[in-house]
Amino acid sequence: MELSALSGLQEQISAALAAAEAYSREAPAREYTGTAADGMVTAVVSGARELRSIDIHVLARRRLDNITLGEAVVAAVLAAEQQASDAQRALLGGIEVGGRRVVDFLDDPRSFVPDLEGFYP
Amino acid sequence: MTAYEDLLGQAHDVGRTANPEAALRRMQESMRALTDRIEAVRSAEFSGGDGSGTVTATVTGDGTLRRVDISARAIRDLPAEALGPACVAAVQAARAQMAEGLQQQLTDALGRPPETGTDLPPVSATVRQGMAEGARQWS
Repeated sequence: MELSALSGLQEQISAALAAAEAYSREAPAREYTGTAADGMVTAVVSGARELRSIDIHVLARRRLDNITLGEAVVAAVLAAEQQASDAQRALLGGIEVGGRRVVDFLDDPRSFVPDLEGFYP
Repeated sequence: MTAYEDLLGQAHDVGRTANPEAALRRMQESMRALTDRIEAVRSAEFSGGDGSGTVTATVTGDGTLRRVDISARAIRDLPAEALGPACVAAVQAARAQMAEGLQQQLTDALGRPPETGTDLPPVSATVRQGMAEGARQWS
């Protein structure tokens, strides 16, 4: 690899790390909401995926059986976490290092580990 | 010897041995064993309760919430405003179990507990320092 290419890669890594650090500083303060069961169950998570609260409306307790209510709680939490993931992708989506997107690494880190199978004939 | 120490030893062997092919294959097998171990924890399920035994949550090893079991008694006895916090407590307990399981696996693999805490230097500072040292050696 030429020195200029190496220098470019170094700048990309520095930019990616700075963006990731800025995001990790701000993420715990951000909040994302998900709902289920026609809005009768609401979950709030932080950008760091910390479950902050679950609100179950009084009507949900009356109208839903315990199994359906449990499923609605899961759906609301997953919806809130999806909001957090979407926000993370939007904030980090444009960052690339060496032609590979940082969000792809976050989705599947193992895909970045080279497979040595067949490396030797 | 731990799985991590095996891997480090084999990585050193690659540069020292006259037969790097065999050393590389051993290193790949160790790396696969290590990632399989982490993958096993990621796909395992961990459960936790709210303390009263009326709500139980189950998460996978990567923290994904799979189930929340709310007992019929909870629906009957708990007011709506108490049900939500009970679910939160159960999910947090399940994720604490998951973290403990993951830490145990990492401790087994590394031979010591993984480093945690806020006193560690920022990753970017460590990487930048490493890159600067590398650049000095190249120039």
